Amino acid sequence: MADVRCPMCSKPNPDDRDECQHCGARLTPLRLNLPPREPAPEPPPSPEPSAPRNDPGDWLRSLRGGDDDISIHGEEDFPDWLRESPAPNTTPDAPPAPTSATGDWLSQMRGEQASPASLDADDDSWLGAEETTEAQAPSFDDFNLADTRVSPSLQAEPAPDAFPDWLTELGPTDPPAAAEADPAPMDFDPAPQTEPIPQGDLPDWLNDPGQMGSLTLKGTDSAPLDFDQPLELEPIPQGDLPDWLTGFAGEEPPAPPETAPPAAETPDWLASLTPASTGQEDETDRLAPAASPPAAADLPDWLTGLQQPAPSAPDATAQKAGELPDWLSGLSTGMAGEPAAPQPAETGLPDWLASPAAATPPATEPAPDAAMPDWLASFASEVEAAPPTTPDAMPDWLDDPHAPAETPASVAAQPPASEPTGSMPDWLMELHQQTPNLGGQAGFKVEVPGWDFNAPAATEDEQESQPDALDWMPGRASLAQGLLGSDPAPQEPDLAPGDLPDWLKAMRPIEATSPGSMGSPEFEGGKAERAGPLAGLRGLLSAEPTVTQAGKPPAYVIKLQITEAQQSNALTLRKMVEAETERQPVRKAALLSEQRVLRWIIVGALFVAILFPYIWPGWLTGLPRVTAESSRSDDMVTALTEDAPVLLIMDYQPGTSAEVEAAASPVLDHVMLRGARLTLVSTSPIGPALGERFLAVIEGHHTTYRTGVTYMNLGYIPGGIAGLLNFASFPQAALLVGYDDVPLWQLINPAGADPWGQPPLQGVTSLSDFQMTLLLTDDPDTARNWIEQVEPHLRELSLVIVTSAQAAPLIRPYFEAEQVAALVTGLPGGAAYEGSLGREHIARAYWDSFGVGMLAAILLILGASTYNLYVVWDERETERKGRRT
Amino acid sequence: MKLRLPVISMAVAILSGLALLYLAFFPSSANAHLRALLLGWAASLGGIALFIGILNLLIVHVDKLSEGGRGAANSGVLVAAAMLTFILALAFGPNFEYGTGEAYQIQPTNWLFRYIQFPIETSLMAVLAVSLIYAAARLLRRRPNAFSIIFLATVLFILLGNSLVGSGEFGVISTGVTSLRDWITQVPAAAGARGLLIGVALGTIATGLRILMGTDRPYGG
Repeated sequence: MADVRCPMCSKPNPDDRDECQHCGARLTPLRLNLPPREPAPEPPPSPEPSAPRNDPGDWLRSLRGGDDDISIHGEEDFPDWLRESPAPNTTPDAPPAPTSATGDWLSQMRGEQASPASLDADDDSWLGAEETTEAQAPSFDDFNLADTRVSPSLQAEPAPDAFPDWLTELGPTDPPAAAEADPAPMDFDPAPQTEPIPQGDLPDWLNDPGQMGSLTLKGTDSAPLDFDQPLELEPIPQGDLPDWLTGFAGEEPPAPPETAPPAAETPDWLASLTPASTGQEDETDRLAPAASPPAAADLPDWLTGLQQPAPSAPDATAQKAGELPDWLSGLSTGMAGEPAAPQPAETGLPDWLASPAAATPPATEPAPDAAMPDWLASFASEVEAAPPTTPDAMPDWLDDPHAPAETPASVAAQPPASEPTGSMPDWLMELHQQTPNLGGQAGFKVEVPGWDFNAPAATEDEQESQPDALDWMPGRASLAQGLLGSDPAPQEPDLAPGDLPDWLKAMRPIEATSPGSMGSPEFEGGKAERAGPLAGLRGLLSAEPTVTQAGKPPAYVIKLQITEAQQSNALTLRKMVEAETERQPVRKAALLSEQRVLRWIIVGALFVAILFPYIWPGWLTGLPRVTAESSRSDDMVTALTEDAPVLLIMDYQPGTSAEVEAAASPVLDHVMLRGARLTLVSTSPIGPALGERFLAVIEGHHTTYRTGVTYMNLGYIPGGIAGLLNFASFPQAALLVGYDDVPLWQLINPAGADPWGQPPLQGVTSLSDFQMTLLLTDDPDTARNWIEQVEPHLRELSLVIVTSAQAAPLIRPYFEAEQVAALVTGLPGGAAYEGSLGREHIARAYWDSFGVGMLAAILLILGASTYNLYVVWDERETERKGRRT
Repeated sequence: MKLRLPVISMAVAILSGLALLYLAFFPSSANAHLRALLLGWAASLGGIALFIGILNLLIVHVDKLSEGGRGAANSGVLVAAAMLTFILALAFGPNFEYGTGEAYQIQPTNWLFRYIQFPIETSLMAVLAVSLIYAAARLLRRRPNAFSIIFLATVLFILLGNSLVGSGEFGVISTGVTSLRDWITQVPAAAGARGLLIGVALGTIATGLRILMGTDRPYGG
């Protein structure tokens, strides 16, 4: 299956497709289904050509025949076929006039066609009488080039007399239904039409070759238009043409070529453009503008300016095979400067698609050809007078994008175009005047920036001289005004690229005028954009990311540059860190160090002092005097009755037991001498054991004291301060089991081990039943707890505390507050109590060693302190002397 | 539940404190039972806390014994001694003794305390005496300032009053030294002690109020 190339995207498509599978364009030409050709109506009398209006929009508005007050050029100015077009306001049945300017005249014309009654044989309405309604009015989409399918509205079967015969013959004879079912695509190489349109069906203005040109339609009455056949136009009578059309009349159209063009599929007007077609000269000639200009009196004023003298014969060199027609080549006159393109014959492309040729453009206007209507030829002649360009030069919008862009210099180098004559309409004249840089070309010429990506970058001078990116739309304001029909406002001089008006310059800050005003060097100078709509501007962001831009990457210096000071600091820091992980050698202590000697001296002195009384037993020291607080304890114990319950609290530590027991032994001995029943308790877990041990020592002097008989050990009071308060408030409930020799499994029945039923605790239900409470402690906090929690529940002034010398200062305030009845402090207090009691116990045994040892300690401390003072003083003196020197 | 537990703990603490405070300020026979109940709970909880502490200590040392390494032998001795004492006390009672008469009576539990624990603690305290004398002797070498001299002088006077000099053997000196010792202990020392006790009391009151108001939650939550 042969592939068909899409005319739009040039991509291959299957042969059986009607539309391109890539872009959706039609692959086969669309065939119009026109009604049978009707006999050509008699040409209406040609109206008097009215004076052309100065308003460029009148001709268009006049066609519309809308609500504007612009009157038509008189009824007689328009041909019958155009005059009979009903105005939107006059024909009720006609569809309402569309609001758009272009739609009014078109819909109006369609509205004429909607009323078949208005059409008759004389109706030379060349658009046919298709009854269209508002809903069927073709929209812009109907004329969409991408979809060449004819809209159903247009494909509707027209009325039999809707279309003129000549127009009917243009379309296929197939019924519209078939066409609608499978609308034929636009055929660019249509099959040759075998049935030319009969001449009588054409309107007169198309039949008059003298007025319209050289188009001649041949064909039978019912034959469609044969595009392959040369178009033979018969001159339209002078009176049949409207004034505005008479102006387009040129020279007598040349006679149609005798020989028929070769049977090619392309139409003549297109075949003339192809390089392979034969008879190109004839086609070129045929497409040449009209030769004879119309009479000046017949043309409207606005068209008279378009009249040009008979164009000379086209330059043979310019009109050689493969070159563009003059009217088309003139559009690209302003874009001179393209490189010479290869000949179309070489590339196989038509001239108008080929690269612009380097051949010189024709200097003069080409000779009018019979094929080109006069009205078009006149334009072509004006365009041809522009700076020459090669006939093969394509408009820039068709240029090769890779071709070098046209520079202003090249544009300026173009020979200036000849000034058009006064035949041009005013609006066109103004357009021409406002485009001096385009070589004075007509307004049809559109300058498109050359998007040349491969062209060498222009120099800064060229860049600065380049116009602004929007210069390709010159005179747009005046052009818009001309189209709208209003008087052209006085044009302000175009602002030069980059120039600011004076009033804006005055407002600009000073920094903006100085270099670097934008704060960044990239905004000053910089590289100017060379292509695209932003050509000429600077300081733009690159279209390509930096990473894609080809170029050698900059070389970065990896080597770290440091100064000598930094290097030395780094080295020092490194040494410090390494020193932390290094093992430091442990200095062995000297055998005879100062510290060791001193310690041994102290130990030796203490040993001697302690053992002195035992070594020299005859030397005894006297006991200390009894203090006031210790004398009261003697009185209290003396006041105990026999078998009095005494609460003995053992809250001291084994380490201080030597001092506490030495201080408490005479007191407890005195109590035991009074025959009191002792009840031992303790808030320390080892207190009961200490009590047992202490009593065992004392019992040596009192053999009658037995546990469970004369004393009861209640054991440990748990709960800290709360337990003390509990014991003080509910002693029997707080201590259910004593410190006895009952095994655990026998404690299941607590009644059997109830200590409160034992003889030592008989008659004791609360702590107030105890006549005296003897607290043995070495901790001032323990003493404070007992004083604060328990003392309020005791009998008044019944608390006696035996404490060590270190806790005495903190307990004395309670003694002075009379919360503590008596206070026996340390070994001196016990020794003094023993002296008053007359019974020697532990205190007396310790007193001599204690005294001598204390004296030794005093001497050691004094001596060592003195020595140390001297050493310190000597060091300071040495240091002071060193400073002086 | 996560949010409720702290609220419950705080509510219990505050209510208990307020109740005991009320019962302390307004004791009566009517609320004696409640007071006994709350105090009994506190005492029981204290005993249980002591037991849990001993149990935790045993667990730690058992773990160290099982892991081995340095100090595992010491942990083993501790665990063995604790278990032995515990078993003996449970089996025979804490004050068990056997033997009759005035002969040597064996008290297993008391024996462990009397001949092992008691000597160890008293020996450590005896070493403290040498350390204190050595520290006092080098005090002026480390801190040769006026306060160190004053401190040493005070210590010497106190020690002197408790020594042979204060025993009265040296007549006037003894009297003077003893009087000085008494004045130091009863006036400056007592004054300082009073200040400390007042500060402690005020801190106790503030801590109690913080607990009652819920701002301080040492019980967690």
